[in-house]
Amino acid sequence: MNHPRIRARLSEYLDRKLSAEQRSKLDAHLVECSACSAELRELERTVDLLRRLPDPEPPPYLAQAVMARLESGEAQPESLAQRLRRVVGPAFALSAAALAGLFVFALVDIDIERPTEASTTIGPVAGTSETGGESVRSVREARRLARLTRLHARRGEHAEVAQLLRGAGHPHSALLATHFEHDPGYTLAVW
Amino acid sequence: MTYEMVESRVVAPARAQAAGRGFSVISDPDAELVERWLAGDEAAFGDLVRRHQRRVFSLVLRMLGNREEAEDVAQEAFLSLHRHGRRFRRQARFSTFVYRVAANAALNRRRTLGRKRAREEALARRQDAGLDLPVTPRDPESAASGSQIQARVQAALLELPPDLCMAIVLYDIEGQSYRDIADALRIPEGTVKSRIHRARHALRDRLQALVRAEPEESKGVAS
Repeated sequence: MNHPRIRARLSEYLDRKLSAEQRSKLDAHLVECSACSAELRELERTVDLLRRLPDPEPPPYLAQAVMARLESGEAQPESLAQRLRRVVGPAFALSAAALAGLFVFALVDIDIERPTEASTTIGPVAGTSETGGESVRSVREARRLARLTRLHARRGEHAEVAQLLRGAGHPHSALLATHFEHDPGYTLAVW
Repeated sequence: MTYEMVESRVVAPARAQAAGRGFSVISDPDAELVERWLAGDEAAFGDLVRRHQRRVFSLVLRMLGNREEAEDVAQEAFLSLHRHGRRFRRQARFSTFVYRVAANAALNRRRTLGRKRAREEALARRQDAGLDLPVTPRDPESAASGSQIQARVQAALLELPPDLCMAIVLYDIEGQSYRDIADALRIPEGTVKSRIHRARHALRDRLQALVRAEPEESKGVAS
């Protein structure tokens, strides 16, 4: 029999995890192999030493300390807004609802392409849609508007950016438009 | 260590094994408290803390080897449990979820502390035969003679890689089954077996003087 294979099963043998047939084969080998028998004895003693470690007593104030920290406001379940704020970071100072509203329009990650002619008619972006066909049109339109917005923003064309955002037809993109109009430097820094 | 305590540790894995092999599912003794807690009863959470603090503290202490760190991490584990309570899936026992949270807390702290510091502390304890670990032996004679052995075993545990240490602590000390450990650590049962096997061999190598001694010598107590 292969000694490394035998030794690889000694732990399971010790824990009585082997089938009756496997155990029988191992028993037969152990009777004849002093090396593997010695290894089994050492493993047994190792496990015995572990199991003889005493149960440590927790500090008597542990539960009290946990409850006191909870009462002081620690470890409350995160709200959706808190989780978004933590994940997205301080660059987005808008509320979680605004972020959700802007997601399709402003946060889609699109490669910069050659600038396309800006449409003079910018209709509202539907955002999420219940039907598949309308959703595709909305996403495509949203991507086009996102490209245009980024292009104008890079050129410092704040009025055009604000116009595109207002034309999106969403109250939160209108809010972002206000930022561009009143404090374009700050807004561009966090874009 | 009394006979009863030893037997419970020997028997517990077998009981858990029976459950894992498709015997009747053990009902969750924490179910009612958990439901009350998740419905908003904070006092129920306090009861859960008191019910599980011993196992959480034991696991964390064995992983870190330092009582002060263990107290801190045990508190953090319960706070994390409270924060993420809604993630508890009732298909598993609540105690499994508790072990998962406590294991993560212990592993994170251990990574922060680093194995180097763990080795330094283990060496200091070996040299001083310090009683950093609280000992509540039933036999006063064994307290005096067994404390050095306990310190060496604990030091050897700290020298193991964290994943091996966690597996062997959960199995051989906490008495959890392969299946419960697999659920708690979110790893396959085969990986649990492998880690336990490797951990035992690694510990055996570090405790050669003890495991190769005659049984009466390694026990450190009169037989």
